[in-house]
Amino acid sequence: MQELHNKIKSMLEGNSVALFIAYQKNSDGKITPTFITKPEQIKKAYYGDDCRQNLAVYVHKHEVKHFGKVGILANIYTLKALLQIYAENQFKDDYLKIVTVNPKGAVVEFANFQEVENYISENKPAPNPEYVAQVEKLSNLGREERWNYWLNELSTCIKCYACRAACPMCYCTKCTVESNQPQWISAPSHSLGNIEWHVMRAMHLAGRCIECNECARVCPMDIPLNLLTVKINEAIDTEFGQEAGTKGKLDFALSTFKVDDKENFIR
Amino acid sequence: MNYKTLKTDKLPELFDKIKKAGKTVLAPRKKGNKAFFSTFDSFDQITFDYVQSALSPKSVLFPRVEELLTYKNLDDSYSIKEPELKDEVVVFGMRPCDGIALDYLSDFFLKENPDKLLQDRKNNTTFISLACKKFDNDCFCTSVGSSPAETKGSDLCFTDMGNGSYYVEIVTDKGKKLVDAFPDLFADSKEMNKVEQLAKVPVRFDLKNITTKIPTVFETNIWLDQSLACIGCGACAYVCPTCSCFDIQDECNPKGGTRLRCWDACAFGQFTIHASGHNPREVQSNRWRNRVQHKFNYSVENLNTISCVGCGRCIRVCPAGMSIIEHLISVEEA
Amino acid sequence: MSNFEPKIIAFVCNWCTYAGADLAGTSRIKYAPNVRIVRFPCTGRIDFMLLLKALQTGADGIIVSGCHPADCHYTSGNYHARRRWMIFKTLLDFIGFDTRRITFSWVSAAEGAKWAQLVNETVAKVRELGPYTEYENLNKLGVGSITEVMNARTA
Repeated sequence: MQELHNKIKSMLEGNSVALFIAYQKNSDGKITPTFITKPEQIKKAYYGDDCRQNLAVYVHKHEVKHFGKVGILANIYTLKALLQIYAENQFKDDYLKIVTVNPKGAVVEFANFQEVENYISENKPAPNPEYVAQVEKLSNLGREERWNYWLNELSTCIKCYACRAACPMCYCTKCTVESNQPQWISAPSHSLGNIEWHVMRAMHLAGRCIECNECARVCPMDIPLNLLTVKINEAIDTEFGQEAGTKGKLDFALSTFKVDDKENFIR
Repeated sequence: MNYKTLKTDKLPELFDKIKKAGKTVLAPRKKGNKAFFSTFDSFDQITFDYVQSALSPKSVLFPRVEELLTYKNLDDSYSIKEPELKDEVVVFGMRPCDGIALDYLSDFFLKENPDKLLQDRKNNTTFISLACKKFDNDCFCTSVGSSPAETKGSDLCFTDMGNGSYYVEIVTDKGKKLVDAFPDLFADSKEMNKVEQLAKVPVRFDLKNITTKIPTVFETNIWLDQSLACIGCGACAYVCPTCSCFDIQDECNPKGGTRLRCWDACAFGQFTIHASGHNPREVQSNRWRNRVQHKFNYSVENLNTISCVGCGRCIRVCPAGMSIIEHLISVEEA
Repeated sequence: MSNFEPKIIAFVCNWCTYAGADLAGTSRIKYAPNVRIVRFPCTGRIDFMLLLKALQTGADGIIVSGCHPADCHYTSGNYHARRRWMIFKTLLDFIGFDTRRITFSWVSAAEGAKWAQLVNETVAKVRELGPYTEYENLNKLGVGSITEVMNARTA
């Protein structure tokens, strides 16, 4: 932890950042984000494998951007998210200073996004076997069983939009569900409104989701939302060979195409 | 107040008899490791292993989506139908803090312009609270003027006395009606000391300091500091037993349609957007400030009470781990 | 239900399939009257939510059809549409929608006969599958519900 604290200290004191976003762990083990602006706050900073929240979600925030130059402590999923957000032209090169702790425990600061891209390709996270297994189990059920499963799960949704808020890729200032002239996606949390919302969100994330699984972690109703985008990502990887959060230049499945894309269901 | 006892092994029979009388019974059931109020087919589906339910019992009076009216377009005119709420419901297993919240919510919806839907639902629902024997770090009822011994807001208050029976306090006439309907299950009792059985929740801050201080720190930077972690979802408002904001949505087609009321939250970015396009709470720090000010300042002005009962649900559900307890302490220290 | 007549909504592109349907008409080719055609400038314009909106408002089956690859009037709209449908169909299948009721095709302006055959086959298939009610009334499910978790799975 000392190496991390020293790095943050040098960044703050050297004025390369005005704010540093990291994790903190309090006495009962709860891990929360911490926003360091003064040297005396640095000692709170913590990093470990138990740091699950994706901090990339904060780089879109108006109050964070207001600090000008921002440093961020990133795990592999945060790195993928930041690379994807950068590829989508959401911020300039000089906005963020990204720091990670590599698998050997050394603190690494990235000079530019090319370095981030290289690091990600060398440290690709393996697909979580639990989620792969759940997707496979569901895919092997009969259609009606699968429908009943998802109808039951999605009907419990209360439309709190925690999934949207926690997702670093959901950064639209006016979300499609807030588009109300006319109301395109049904807002109330009856089953129709819930299904329309989750289908729409999964499609808007197709090829952009970096599988941090925050959506499932933050859902108050414990709906396994990540399975929807995991399934779509599997299809995109197989059919088009594209993966989110791996390139600094946009290579987005739904805005590119190959003349010889193959499918087996169009007559 | 009247007192009774009920043997704990008679609880399944009580539920069966209530159901046979045509009422719906809701009790906590687990989904994963969270408890939610739900219907049940058999008693063993109910859980007693929870500090607090994930969602609050406000859904029984104020559901997440309900119909206000439906209409049909007829040849020369139209017809309108309003819902008739006749279902009788008994809710078991809420906590004493939830009772205070239900009282607040009832005042909010019924005092000035009585909301017929909430009134009908309230008339038809009996709330049975189950006093807390344990607590966790996110509970702070004793800091906001309540405690596990609270009875206000419940119709009946059950305390597990640890000796095979529940101590039953009959708080309201509605509670009395339920108890009187099953005389073979409830035995008369004198007043008992239940406090020894209850969780001892430590006080975390001085409420008076906070309510005095909070109007004076409106323009300070503490809101920015507290809210940097807030990602702007509505989870805290939705799980909160006193939050009452709602949206009205019309869902129609040429043949007819329905007007629905559904939950809304002040944390959402577009919550205060005006028809002109101006948004007075454009940044999250303003929206966060509004939430805390409402609960500890505005509701005191309008309804003579704070609107937080210390249930801790907002802390447990927050994706970013924000804690209103810490924020209130920082207001106290500002 | 022997007298069930399916309602089919067809989302078609103006330059190819709509013209093809027109040709079927001028050639006096008879085909099932169950289809209601919605005309778009290009399949690339067809929002995936429109399919769900159709199912929700009473459609029993859907046809989505446009220009053959390499023949799009706007050069590449149908390529984008093709990708979109590949992903959307994967998602719908995964959630459990009955995607047998959705037919995707390429029908050119010269293929009047193909259009008629496509509609006839789709109508016959959907007639056999029956009305699609699973999705239609979901705007009533949950309204006024006093619990969020209706079929809570025990721990």
